[in-house]
Amino acid sequence: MEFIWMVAEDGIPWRMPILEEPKDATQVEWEPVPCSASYSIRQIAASSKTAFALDRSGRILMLVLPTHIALRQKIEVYVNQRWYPLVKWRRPLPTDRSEYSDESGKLRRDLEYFEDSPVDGWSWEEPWRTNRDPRSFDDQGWQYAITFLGANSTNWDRQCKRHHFVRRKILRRHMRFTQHDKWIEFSPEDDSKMFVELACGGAEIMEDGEILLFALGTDGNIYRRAGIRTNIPNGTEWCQLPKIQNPSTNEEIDDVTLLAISPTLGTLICITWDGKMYQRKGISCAIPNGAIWRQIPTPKNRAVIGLTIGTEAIWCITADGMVWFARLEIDRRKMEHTNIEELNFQEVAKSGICRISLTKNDQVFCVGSEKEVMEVRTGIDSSEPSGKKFEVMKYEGNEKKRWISICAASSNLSNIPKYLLDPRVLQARQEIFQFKNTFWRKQILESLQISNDKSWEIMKDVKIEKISDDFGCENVERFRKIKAQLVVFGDGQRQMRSVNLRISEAVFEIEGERNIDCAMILSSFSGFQRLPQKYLLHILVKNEAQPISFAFTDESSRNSCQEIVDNIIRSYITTSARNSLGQSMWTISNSGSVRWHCLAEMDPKFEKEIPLSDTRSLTVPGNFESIDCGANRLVWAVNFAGDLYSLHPRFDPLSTLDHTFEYRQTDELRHELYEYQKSAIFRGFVTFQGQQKGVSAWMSKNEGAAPQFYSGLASKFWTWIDAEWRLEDSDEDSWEYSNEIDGNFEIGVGKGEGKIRRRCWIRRAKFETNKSVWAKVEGPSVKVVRVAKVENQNSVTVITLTRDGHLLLRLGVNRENFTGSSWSQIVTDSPITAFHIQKHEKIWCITTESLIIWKTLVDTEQDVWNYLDMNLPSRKVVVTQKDADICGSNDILYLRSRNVLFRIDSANLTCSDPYPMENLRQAVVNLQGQICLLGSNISIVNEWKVMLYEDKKTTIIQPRSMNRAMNFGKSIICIAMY
Amino acid sequence: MSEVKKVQVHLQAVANAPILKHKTFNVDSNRDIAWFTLTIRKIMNLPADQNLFFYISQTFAPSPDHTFGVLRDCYAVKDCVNLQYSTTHAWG
Amino acid sequence: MDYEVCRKVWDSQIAAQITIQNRDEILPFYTMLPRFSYFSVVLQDILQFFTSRDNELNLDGEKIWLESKGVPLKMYIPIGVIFDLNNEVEGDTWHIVIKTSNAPSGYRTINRETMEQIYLQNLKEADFLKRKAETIQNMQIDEHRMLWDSICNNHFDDFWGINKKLMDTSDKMFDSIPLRVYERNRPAFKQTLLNPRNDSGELVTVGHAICQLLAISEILPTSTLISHGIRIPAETPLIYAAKNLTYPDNFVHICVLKND
Repeated sequence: MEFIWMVAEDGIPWRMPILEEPKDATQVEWEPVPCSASYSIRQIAASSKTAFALDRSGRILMLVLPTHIALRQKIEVYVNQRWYPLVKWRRPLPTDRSEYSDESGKLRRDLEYFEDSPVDGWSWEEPWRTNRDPRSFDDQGWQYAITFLGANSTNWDRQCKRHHFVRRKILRRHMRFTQHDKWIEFSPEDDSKMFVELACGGAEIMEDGEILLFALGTDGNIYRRAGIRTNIPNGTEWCQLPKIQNPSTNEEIDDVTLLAISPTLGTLICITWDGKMYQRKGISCAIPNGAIWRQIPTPKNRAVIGLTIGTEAIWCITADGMVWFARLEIDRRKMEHTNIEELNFQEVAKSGICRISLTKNDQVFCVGSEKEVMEVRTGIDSSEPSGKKFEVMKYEGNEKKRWISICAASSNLSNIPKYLLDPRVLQARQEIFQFKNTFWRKQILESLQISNDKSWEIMKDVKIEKISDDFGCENVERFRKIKAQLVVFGDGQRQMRSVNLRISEAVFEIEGERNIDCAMILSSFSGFQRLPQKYLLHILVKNEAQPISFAFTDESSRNSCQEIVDNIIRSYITTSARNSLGQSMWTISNSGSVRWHCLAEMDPKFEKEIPLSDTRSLTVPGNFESIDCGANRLVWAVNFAGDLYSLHPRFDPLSTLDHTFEYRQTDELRHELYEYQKSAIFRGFVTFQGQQKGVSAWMSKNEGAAPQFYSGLASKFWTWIDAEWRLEDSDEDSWEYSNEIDGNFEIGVGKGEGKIRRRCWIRRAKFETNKSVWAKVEGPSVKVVRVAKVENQNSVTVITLTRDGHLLLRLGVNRENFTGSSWSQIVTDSPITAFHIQKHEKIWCITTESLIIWKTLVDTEQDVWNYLDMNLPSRKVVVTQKDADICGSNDILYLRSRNVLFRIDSANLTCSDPYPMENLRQAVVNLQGQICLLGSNISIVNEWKVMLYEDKKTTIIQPRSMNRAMNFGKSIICIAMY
Repeated sequence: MSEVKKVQVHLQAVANAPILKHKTFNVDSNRDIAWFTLTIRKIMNLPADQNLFFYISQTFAPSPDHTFGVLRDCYAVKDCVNLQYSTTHAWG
Repeated sequence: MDYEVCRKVWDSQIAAQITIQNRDEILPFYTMLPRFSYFSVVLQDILQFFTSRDNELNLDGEKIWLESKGVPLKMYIPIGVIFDLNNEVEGDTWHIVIKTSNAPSGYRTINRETMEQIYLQNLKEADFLKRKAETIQNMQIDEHRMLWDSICNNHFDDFWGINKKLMDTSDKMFDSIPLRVYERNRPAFKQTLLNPRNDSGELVTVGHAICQLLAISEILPTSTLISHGIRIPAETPLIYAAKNLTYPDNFVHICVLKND
């Protein structure tokens, strides 16, 4: 949730939710967020996670916005004991460390200290628990050593041997923040400090969860709150910044009145009583207090009384009421503003605004000076960064109040939503949503579709030669004629030859080349070639290893041809015999396009499913990076930007009923283009023509040779975000050097060495469609989603792994409510690399430390994980963080790490030797429990041969029978099976 | 609602339309504008190349299929349907 | 505006087969006729098709008339309404005959220009019922022209770009709803002043409105309300129909068919 915060004259804070597409007025209603009666707020500063309010008496209050991920802190206490003859294990000697201590033994901890409820806003989650990680502790949680002295973690052994005389165990407890969405005291431990100004920002230069919070004390000093983390939202202590020194007299300046900081970068400027501006230079993640104060010139040397800093814009108000704007330039590598000392302020308005605040994307929210109502600056975009005019927000409640403070810095808004200026927008939306799910509307829609289909059917049945398309009706010829270019490989090169295609229901004819029986066409997939730019269509034909590829110069011809081919495939699937289990596979190609494969087609002769390599597939609209499917035909997917989507259950790839879906799907992709140069004698490094070992001078990271600074995009849904290509490291030394063009490149091997060098150019593109069949599910950025293959009473378990390794469970997912209703966190101690949902009841995870843990999915809030008591790293099972999967069926787990597969029997505690497979990139299971492997081919293993070693702990595995599809593994990046 | 009753219709000339002696008529409620147009044309003796248009509330021309019963239910003022008539397009 | 429904309504078409009277040797013209349009509009293209096939064919656009199943077809009523009144979507195309003989008395052959005028008058009447014609009178002549052109040329987005002004109730609800009800074998339509809300402020349904219009107490289960070729559920709110189930003249045209 994003908010704009404001404070009314009566001292009560309000907030306004910002939604891109609100359904109706209630979703974006302004609401008061009152503190308790004794506080009268005068200012609010906010980040996207927390809001800070300054009361008139100088106290600071904090409101932590609700999060999907719980804010937790872990407290650990070590229990130390020594072994004495006769009495055995007792408290240590006085010369040892104390009975309860921290890890080093130096700090004493008393358990009673932790009995009471912790700090305000936090509560204990559970009583003390012993850490029983089987790799380091015995089953009571102890680890043993010879002596405390000099003992570091490697000396501790889980087995008690004769020479071990001391032992310790770790007690652990978590506290959780529970006072979300309420105002609570900010720093109760230090009541003495009072403040008069707050500023909060720097989100993009600090690390996750940290923000820069500066406050001006009543003593005239500027303080920064240190120690703010995601799970410590109020930080730990105040750090005082050195005072500003008057440049001419070197006296200290005491009279700062205002602080302003950019919401994204570390630019902090303060204003003194006489209207002068001073910047704290040198603020960065490593040096959050900055280095030195520097005076900066004000617009035409006038006194400044109001200031707000954005990302690429800075606005200020001078004492004469004039409003000024200046552009900010950014050095993206150092993430700092470069032109603060030479700002070129332009006059925007002579008067009219008394308070002003910028969003992260430089949209302006302000308070008018006449009536003190909220206004916005309309028309701000890249061509007109100072916008067109100030307009009063026509919003319920705006004109009834007088506003004294506003903070838009926590919002990402990059343009002013229409509904803020025109209340009719919401009303119209509301009308639509009011009726959206009524039965009569659904009836009307279906009847319209059926009636229309009938009319077209009638027309198709009529035997005609030619139909006029004067009235916009479609061409219903028996065959379609299309011009395309056939891609052939000759002399090791790709060549293109113009051909005419004649496609009818039975035959796909490439005039002059060959005729293909339409029953043999299995699937089509689209592609994009950069050099020369062509839109490609590949058609897979049964029993042929290579697809037949066509090139088109424009996207719509390629799309029409693909539609025709898909219609042919669709008609064959719908008329074939399929079994009732409805097995299917979903795949995502390396260009992000989604396909659905029908695996349920039956071979009438043999009465079993046709082999995998003979299955047909259809393209499904969408653009994603990973996908999973499960019970009730639910399908969820994740795009490249980490957003989560769910497929509308009414969408059926086989159905020709065209339900119009109007969901919005967006995505963002960073294009990376490498520039290669070869070193030539006497000339130094120069660009080159042609190719060497398959590498040209300009290479796209994923797509091979590309035109220099190309501007073409794969489909009409993509547009560029960045106007131009820019260097990833805007530095002369960003070149990487190597001796081999296909070898390893390293930075700065030495300019003289290395025969080839390259550097990387970046340009971002965004994907957008408003007619998607996938609905976005709100939540944090996600890496992976898994859908359970078996239903759980009335819902289906869907779990995601966020980018920072947290597990979130989506509640309330079923066919009627296919996006679920809310998130619940499955709390874990350490970050997770991969996980697997067994049926609907258990979740298996592998942590970043190669530990396999599992728990039942009944009560996800409690931390009751079970460890699989196998020391995997000792068996050469090391899981790499980024490239691992875990899946399985019942007690058998399959673990994939890079291109190696392990089979782990969790009941018998055996683990197989690594089973390598060429190019193995993913392992998933289907409903039957068979494992499906994505390598150069896609294979389903029907049965494994498992042989046990003598030590009864290791096995060797071999696939005994496999169902393999040879034709399309290479261009697929993700598969999911049902 | 529209039984076969009579509907009172009052005509008002506009622009250069010929003035009628009788301005008020009682018409069967199931008669339509098409019939009414023919009738008035005969009364006026309007040449075949001249048009005759009727308007309601000086705003719109009713469809030729409109029956007077319906016109009365929708647009009557004090139970009387007021029609303006003209030989040229008066209101668009 | 409910985009899904409005789009499907606009895209509805009828499969038609057009022949010329007494010229059986000429092959029929098969085409899809848009429900929202008028015969006055499509006739031109139909005639062009025939004359392009056979140069000697002489069809006078001013004198011919159209007939189907023995019934003359009115050129100034939306095609969809004419179809629904006399036909149902069955397995065969709609047979239409271009008649060159003398038209029956009272038949008016209407050309495109005249139709534009009639269309605009219908639009004004509809807006008069909704809000005393304020909106349409405040529109520019260009916008009127654009509405008509987008009907002739099948431009959905252009049409609704302007039409949505006539459908806007954010300031005020409509005074009354333009609804015309037809019954088979009765020549004239029924129309009356219909309030979108009843006395308790609830939205009136289409079923109730029709009952009020036809002076019957309820819609019998044996009757169906047809518009745009589909059965309209009686529970549909009248205001919803007025905004999303209208023809381009802004009227809701419903045929009440009694299934005996």
